[in-house]
Amino acid sequence: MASLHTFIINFGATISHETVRHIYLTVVAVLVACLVAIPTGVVLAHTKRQGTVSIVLGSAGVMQTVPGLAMLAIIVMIFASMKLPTIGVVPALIALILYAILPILRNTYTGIKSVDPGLVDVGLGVGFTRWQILTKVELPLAMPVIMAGIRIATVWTIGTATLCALIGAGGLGDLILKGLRSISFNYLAAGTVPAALLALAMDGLLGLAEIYFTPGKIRRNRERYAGSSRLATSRVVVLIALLAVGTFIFIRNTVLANHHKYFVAAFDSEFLIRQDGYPGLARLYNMHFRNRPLQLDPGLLYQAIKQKSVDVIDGFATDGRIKAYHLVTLQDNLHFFPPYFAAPLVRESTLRKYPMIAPLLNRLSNKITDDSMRAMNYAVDNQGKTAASVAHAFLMQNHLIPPHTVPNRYRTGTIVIGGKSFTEQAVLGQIMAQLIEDNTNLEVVTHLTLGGTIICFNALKSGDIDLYPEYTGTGLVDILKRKVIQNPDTVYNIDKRVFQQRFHLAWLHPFGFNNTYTITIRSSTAAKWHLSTISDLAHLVDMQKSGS
Amino acid sequence: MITFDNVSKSYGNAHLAVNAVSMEIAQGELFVLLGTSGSGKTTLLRMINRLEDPSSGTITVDGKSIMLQDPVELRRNIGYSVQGTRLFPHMTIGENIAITPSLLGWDNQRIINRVNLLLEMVGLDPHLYVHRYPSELSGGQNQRVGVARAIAADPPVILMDEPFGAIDPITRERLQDEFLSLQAQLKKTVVFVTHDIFEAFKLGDRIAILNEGVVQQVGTPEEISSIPASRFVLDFLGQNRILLLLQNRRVNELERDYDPVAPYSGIDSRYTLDAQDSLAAALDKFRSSHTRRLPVRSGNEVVGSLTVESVTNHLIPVDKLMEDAV
Ligand SMILES: Nc1ncnc2c1ncn2[C@@H]1O[C@H](COP(=O)(O)OP(=O)(O)OP(=O)(O)O)[C@@H](O)[C@H]1O
Ligand SMILES: [Mg+2]
Repeated sequence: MASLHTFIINFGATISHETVRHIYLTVVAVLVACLVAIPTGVVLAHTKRQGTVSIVLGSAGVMQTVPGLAMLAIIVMIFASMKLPTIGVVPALIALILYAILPILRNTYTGIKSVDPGLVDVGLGVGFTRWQILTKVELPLAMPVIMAGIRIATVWTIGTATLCALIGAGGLGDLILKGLRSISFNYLAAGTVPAALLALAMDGLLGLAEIYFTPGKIRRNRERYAGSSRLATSRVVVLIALLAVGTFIFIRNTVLANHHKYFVAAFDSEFLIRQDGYPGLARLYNMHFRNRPLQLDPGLLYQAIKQKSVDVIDGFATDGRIKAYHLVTLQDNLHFFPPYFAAPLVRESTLRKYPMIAPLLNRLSNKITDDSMRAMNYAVDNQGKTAASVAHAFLMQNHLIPPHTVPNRYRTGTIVIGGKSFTEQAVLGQIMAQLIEDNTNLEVVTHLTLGGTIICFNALKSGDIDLYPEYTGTGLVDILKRKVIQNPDTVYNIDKRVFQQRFHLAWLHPFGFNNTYTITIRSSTAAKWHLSTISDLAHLVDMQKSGS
Repeated sequence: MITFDNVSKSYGNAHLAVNAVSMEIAQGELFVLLGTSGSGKTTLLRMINRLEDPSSGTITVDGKSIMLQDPVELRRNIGYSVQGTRLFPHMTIGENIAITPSLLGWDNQRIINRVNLLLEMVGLDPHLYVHRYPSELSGGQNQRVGVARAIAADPPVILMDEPFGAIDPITRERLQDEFLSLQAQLKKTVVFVTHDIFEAFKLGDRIAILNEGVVQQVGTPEEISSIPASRFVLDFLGQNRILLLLQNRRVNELERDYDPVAPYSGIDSRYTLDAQDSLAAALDKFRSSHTRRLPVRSGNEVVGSLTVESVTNHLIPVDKLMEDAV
């Protein structure tokens, strides 16, 4: 792990970039929320229909109770069903706006409602029009309360915006997620500290704005409201801190302290539900762990097995950490796992629009071996290199890009490359992106942290992205829901034919390596129990259960 | 100046807050609406500047039906001080007073002069107060500003809803006195709501007594205290009636009881009754002089003497007369 000092020097640009993006997300969301919530609050405060008021405030309140993550998921689903972009800034902003509306709406409503009706009366009596009553009496008097609402909304939004990294909107959440995936304190701090500081700074700034906007003597009462939003800030800071501490404690204690007589397995969420994952595996090998396998983020799996908190994990053949952590993969003696040769999966419409893409990407055909992929993954996961720099080195080494590229300002089109959120996809995505960018006039946009297979595949179908790296076995079993087939060429050909007919998507030439799922254990465990195949493991697990 | 013709108002239920009111308020008159809480005083007042619209009947100001006028325009030409004197807390005293003039488009210098003049009129030093906020003034000072705001644009008609409520008796007296002398100069048409009988009788040129939305009696303080129009008015005045009689009857009404022989009283007016003195003032002079008989003077001439018994005896038959009148 690089020291924090060098980390900041190396990643300073990234941190400031993500911070700016985070500010952008927050400011736009809160501004739009203000534009929606303040007029609505004003109208609600004046309507005589109490029913409407409770319906609107009630539904805004319900919206608030939906967890931020679920809100994001719901928006993405609605967008998907309406064939709108499901990734990037727009759905993220919509979720943030929905979140920010309630505090502003509620405070505008209460603020105006709590204006002494006698003053409104006097306002009418001295000859104000209805509009003047609103602008000269009600809004100025309600301003401290409205501003408090805006401050709460801003602080909330800064916190919630970290989740938007999950759908490729960027921001400080990107760094936090990376930190979580790779158990890197540096990344975690690089995302968390700016987010907390941002919350404090924004809150302070709005506090000043509040003083500025609050007329005359009502400023005296300001402290009361300031108190409540300062509370909100500290709540968020505490929340983030708790989250960080909680993650570490979870790994250290819950998992680590689990001293056991039985093998404990941990798999990532996708492996736990895929037919070519744990359910099928358990059935074929008749392997049933005593305790239900834990679900862990892919990044946490290696940490957990290395620290002996679990004994069995799923892994990818090309994962650099298998060697680095002294792990071994068990032989799939019953041939459960299909081959997972990675290849670019591209929209046919994109290939028609930019015919040079297919031959260009096919130059990568069989250029990456299992070993070289593993080395690249290892460089990113364990040596602190960026996917972009690793990809660049690979392309240079294989003479796939010109040694000196001149920045090209005359872009004639755009290609959007997606990728699931794990290292290998980021590296492959970067390789393809740089290959295209340095050899064509096309501009390349990357969304390389798009969650899992389904998110990527849907984004590709809907045209939000033009291509992403997919694995042949995943295509066959996970997407087409077919039975496992062992012959790699057969799998590739079925994928190629069916994807073309059914989805108008093209499989280009595979990169060459087979990133199959593996069942991975510590080499010390393998030696102690003489384990070399998955059948051996299934047998041992069974014996442990029956207590012998 | 202001006429009510069969005006009724209900707030959407069977109960009538104002019930078939017909009356006229003359130009330059200080007209008091007097009644218990909930009797409809505020409602009646607020219909004049269309803060409420009557359910039936017509109200005219200066001969024009108010329903034919733009309410905002109308209100800018009628001064209004609301029940509980609410100044805008986010505006300075000066800004509060200046609202209606600036809505009417007065130029700045004129507004500044006017604000200073008004503050002086209500007894507040403009230099000290014009830039202060309402929360920095006492309750009584706030009420003075409320009066100033109501008359700021020099409107011909002023509506005042209990402007001197919730304040200590001494300050209230003073505000009333100041207001009376102000009114003596300005001669506005004032409709003044109060539930305080003494305030009504002290200030009112005429008084309308309301009960449950119905006008029970309209008349001068003298008329009302001597000839109550209904059982309700009599009960409403209650024990205060004696006090009102003492305040509203004068020594010269007891001329028949004068004793031509007058004791020597020297030149001390404290020990001489004036024919124009109220009976209350007369009783006070008996009390402070420790005598039962005092000389009565009309102008510079002593016209006889009066005993304290003849004053108290007078009250009983008059009170009886009032009861009989109902
Ligand atoms: N906005 C309203 N909606 C419904 N009823 C009302 C409304 N305003 C007044 N009323 C009712 O009308 C009646 C007269 O009220 P109003 O305010 O005119 O009384 P008031 O004589 O001014 O009393 P107070 O001396 O307490 O101010 C009362 O019964 C009151 O409850
Ligand atoms: Mg009232």
